[in-house]
Amino acid sequence: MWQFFHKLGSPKWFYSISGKVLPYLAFVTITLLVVGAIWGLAFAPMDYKQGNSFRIIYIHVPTAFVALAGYYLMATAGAISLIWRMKMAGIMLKVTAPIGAAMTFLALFTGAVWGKPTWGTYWVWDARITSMLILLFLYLGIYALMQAFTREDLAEKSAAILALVGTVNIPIIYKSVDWWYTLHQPATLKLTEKPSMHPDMLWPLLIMIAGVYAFFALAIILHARVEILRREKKTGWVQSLLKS
Amino acid sequence: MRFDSFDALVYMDGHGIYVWTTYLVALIIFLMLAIYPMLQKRSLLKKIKRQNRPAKVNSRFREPT
Repeated sequence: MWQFFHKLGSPKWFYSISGKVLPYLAFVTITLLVVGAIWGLAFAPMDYKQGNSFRIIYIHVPTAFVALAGYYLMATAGAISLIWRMKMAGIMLKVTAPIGAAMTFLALFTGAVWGKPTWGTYWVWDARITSMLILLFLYLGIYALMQAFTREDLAEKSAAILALVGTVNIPIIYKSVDWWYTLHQPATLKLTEKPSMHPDMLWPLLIMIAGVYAFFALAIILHARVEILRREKKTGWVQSLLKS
Repeated sequence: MRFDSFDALVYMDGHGIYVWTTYLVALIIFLMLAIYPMLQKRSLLKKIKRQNRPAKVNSRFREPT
């Protein structure tokens, strides 16, 4: 068990394992996203209230899920890098921030476009939307903070602290639809309850959620591999990798 | 398919513009997130290889004999 953690913290081990996993993960990701998108766009039934605009859900909900999950990952990586100084944790902290920001932006953007035909406006200062906007700023702030330091260890330390402080926003986002009953509808999917959606609508959503999660993992691996090479370029294993 | 024709799929009873915009923007951002690290990796590998090569002596400028 401890050996596993030890390996997980090693950039060399991560680089070689992720290189083997990458083609399979890419295949799974593309399949899920293509199947999910076509099903959602062309085959899922129309929503009786919202019409066809509800098809935006297949981008909106998965990206919003991953935007939040990404923050967990980033904050956990930040905590690990603060406490144990694990090399991989610092790399994860750094690469998750821009990807998480992209996902949060997509969730906000698709929400805004969906809002126009449904609510009649692109933007309202609703609790859920505002707390998601704060999440976007947190991601961007952490990314900017990392770029602001020339010393990598200082950059990691301060970004990790900001990431941990920012976790206060996560329960606010989750609970915002219950605490302040404003425009944004309550959660469609709950782990503890039977979904209220029709299966024909639900299946493509579940496939898209799995697909966007898979894509998130893929993007993190791709970015992390570059970051590993950049940091370890002087080490023996990278040099021997180049010669082969 | 839930739509009678390809045109109906594009138009989506007037909601097509909203739906297709979100899918297009998502596609662009996903592609950027995947392609950018690949380009970065390629240029980084080139840079490391260049740094590893011993500095070339320019043969045109010889020490005067």
